[in-house]
Amino acid sequence: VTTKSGLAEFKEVISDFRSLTSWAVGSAVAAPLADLALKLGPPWPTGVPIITALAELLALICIFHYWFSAGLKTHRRRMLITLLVLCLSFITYFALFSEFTYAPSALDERQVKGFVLRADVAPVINDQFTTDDALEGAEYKADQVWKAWSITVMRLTILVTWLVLFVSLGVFIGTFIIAQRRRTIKIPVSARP
Amino acid sequence: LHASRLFLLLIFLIGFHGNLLAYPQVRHNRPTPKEIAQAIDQITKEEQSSEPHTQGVNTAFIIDREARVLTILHILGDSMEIAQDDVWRIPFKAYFDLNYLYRFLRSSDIPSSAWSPRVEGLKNLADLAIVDIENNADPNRLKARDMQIANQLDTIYSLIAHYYRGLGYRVPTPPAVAGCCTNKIRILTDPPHGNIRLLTYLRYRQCIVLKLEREQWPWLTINQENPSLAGRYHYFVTWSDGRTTEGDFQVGMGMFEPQVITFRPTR
Repeated sequence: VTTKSGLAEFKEVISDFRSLTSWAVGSAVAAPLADLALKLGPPWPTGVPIITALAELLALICIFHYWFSAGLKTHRRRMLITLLVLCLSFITYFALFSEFTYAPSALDERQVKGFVLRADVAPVINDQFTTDDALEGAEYKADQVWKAWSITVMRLTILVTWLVLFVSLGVFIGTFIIAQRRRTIKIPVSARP
Repeated sequence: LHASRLFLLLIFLIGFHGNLLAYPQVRHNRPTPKEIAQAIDQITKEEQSSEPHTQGVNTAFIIDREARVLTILHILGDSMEIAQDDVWRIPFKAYFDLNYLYRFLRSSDIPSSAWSPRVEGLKNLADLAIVDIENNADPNRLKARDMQIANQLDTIYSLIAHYYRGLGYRVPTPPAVAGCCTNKIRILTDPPHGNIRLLTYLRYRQCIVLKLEREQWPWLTINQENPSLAGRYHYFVTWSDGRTTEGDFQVGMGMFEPQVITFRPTR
């Protein structure tokens, strides 16, 4: 059995990653495209596709640098953990997206709400006048309703959840491919016809 | 070699995560006098038979004579390759609209006597904008000219919609207009010269809770002819005979014809 360098493994696995286009693209790649088609990506900041791509690349490099020599059993366990993270981040992201983002109209860019009301707004909020009413009465300016820091925290939370979602997806697929390669039966040269 | 492969992978991932090439390319250089002259020439050399093209226009119309429907299309993004802050955009854009309107109106059922003076008025305003720019006019003057052009366009759009409604055509309201979060609103009073004061509805609720005197309320200063408003507001109008009118109104997002809010004294 010949030993391979991490980089060689990485190149081969990337090759595998590309060769699995039919389904890998469907899961790892097509999902972020939903951001373009369905506007499901984080409303802030503007460079989310680039940030997501860099995060995925970093995650893949880390996997092949630190994980490629691990055994099949370890990979199976990691895949399960990654799948769990993937499911949790999926649910969390869409819950946050639904609860803490808004668009004044179908054509407007989505914006992020806060979660701590401004001191001058809190007394007027009740069952008859909700935060959504307040937003409408504030020309749809979130910073007129919520404290600015809470809007920033929510923006970051939504962004981080989005990144965790796609990084875990990339890690899951990367780990799966490494695990499949570990399972491949290598035929010794002497046994080949 | 490895670094280049990694770089290619990065490009591969970025390419999937965002169609960067699809981002609009904005040309920051102004149109040359030749380009403006070409746009003007287009107006006089139009062929009657061809469909009016919608490049650079705000709004386009489709007449379905069989179904008796006039469809109003709001063009989102004007496909102009001129930077938003370029002053030459004002006349250049006006000429695109003129080009379209001339061609559309000539092929429409509307008698030229009805639209010709208004379209000529639009052309005069576009020419005045060119003169303004060539004379290095004050930016506020150019803004006012731009607003005059927008108002003139609105009157032409209204004329078209009104004429076809009169012929029994259905004119469905288009879903929305471009622009984020605010709508241009024309505010009028009937009778004129009512003193209008507006307050965002949230501020109004706060003033009520805090039991502030009306004079202490943070009224909005409306110093434009067509202010941009969005959401819900509280208003207070004082008429010349001392009567007052008070209430709330809501600005819907995205209507075709510029929304006009007319305040009248309570009977």
